[in-house]
Amino acid sequence: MRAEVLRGHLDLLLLAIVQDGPQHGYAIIEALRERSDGAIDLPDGTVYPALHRLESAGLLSSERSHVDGRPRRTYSITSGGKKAVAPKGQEFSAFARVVQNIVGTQPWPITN
Amino acid sequence: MADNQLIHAYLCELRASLAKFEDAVIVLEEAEDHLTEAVSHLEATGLDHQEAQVQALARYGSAAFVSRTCIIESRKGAAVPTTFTRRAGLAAAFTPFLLVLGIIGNTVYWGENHGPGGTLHGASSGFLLPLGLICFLLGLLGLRARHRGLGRLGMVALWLVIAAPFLSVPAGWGAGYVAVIILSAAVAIMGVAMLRAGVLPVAPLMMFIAGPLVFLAICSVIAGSDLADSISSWALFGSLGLTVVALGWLGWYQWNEPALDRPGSSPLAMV
Repeated sequence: MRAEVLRGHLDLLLLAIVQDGPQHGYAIIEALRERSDGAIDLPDGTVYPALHRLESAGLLSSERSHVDGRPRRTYSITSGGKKAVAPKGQEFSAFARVVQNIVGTQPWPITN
Repeated sequence: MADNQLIHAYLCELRASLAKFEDAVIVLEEAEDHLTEAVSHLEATGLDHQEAQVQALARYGSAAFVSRTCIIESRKGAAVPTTFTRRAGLAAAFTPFLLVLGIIGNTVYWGENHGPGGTLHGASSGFLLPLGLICFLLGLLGLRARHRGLGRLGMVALWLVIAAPFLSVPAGWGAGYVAVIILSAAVAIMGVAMLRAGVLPVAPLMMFIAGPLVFLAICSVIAGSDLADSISSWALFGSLGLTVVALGWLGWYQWNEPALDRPGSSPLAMV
């Protein structure tokens, strides 16, 4: 999937993944790849700035810990993030259904 | 533990390309954790250590690309529209009208008995102009909030605004002009920061910056000359007019953005 197709949706997807529970960056990116059946395959390093932006917006929070001697940042969704993602998820589902109905429909048969 | 030579070399390159980036430490820590984790997962699929590192690095993106993304995204700030930025935008959109009406009303002749003209004059100077100034400041705060503070340049602009009254007082009768010069510099710096962030449309931002720049340029040309009194007033009003109209334009744009903290706003707005 091209990056520009994702424009505007990546934040929602990241929030939706973190909503399942606190996760570190690698797990979030893998979940993004797996749950999209590999369709979303961004360079991993470019997802972190989006996570930082969501954190600055107060939609995610992060906690620093140490795993195997190296620092690790684990992201959790905030109450503001939950509040933001819930209605947007519903709206997006409805929007996706509408697009699918229109784009995925066969042309109306010509009747004379 | 196997030697992560390739990862270390990559991290050195990333560190160098993020030399001036404020949050470089966080980016580097996360990159190291991510790449180490990725290598161990790839090794579990049967790849040897060297090949796992190559694949993990290929998926992560080149150091130049990652650092560029970090810098661009950080300039965007946490640029999300909220209820506050929308309301501040609406206030900003009203600013030009309030100030123009206030200035027009303020010039109405009082008349000898303080009749209707006096009432209009009083309403303008006592209500419309102060309200316009409040909306102007609220609009600036809204722009700042829309960019989540605007980083260092935003801080410089904010401190200039705060310091303006104190710095202008020693100028005596010229305090007003000194204050406007300082505020113009603050607005110009803020405008440049917003332009770099790339959150709001370019045309009104250019107009927003043009106002104070024109004013500062004219002031520097006429400083000390006989033209100072006559031209600087026009320059002042003209340049402030540009900035105020641009603020109104930006405010209207902000007002039309769906707030992220409002249930029911479009997911397409989340950029």
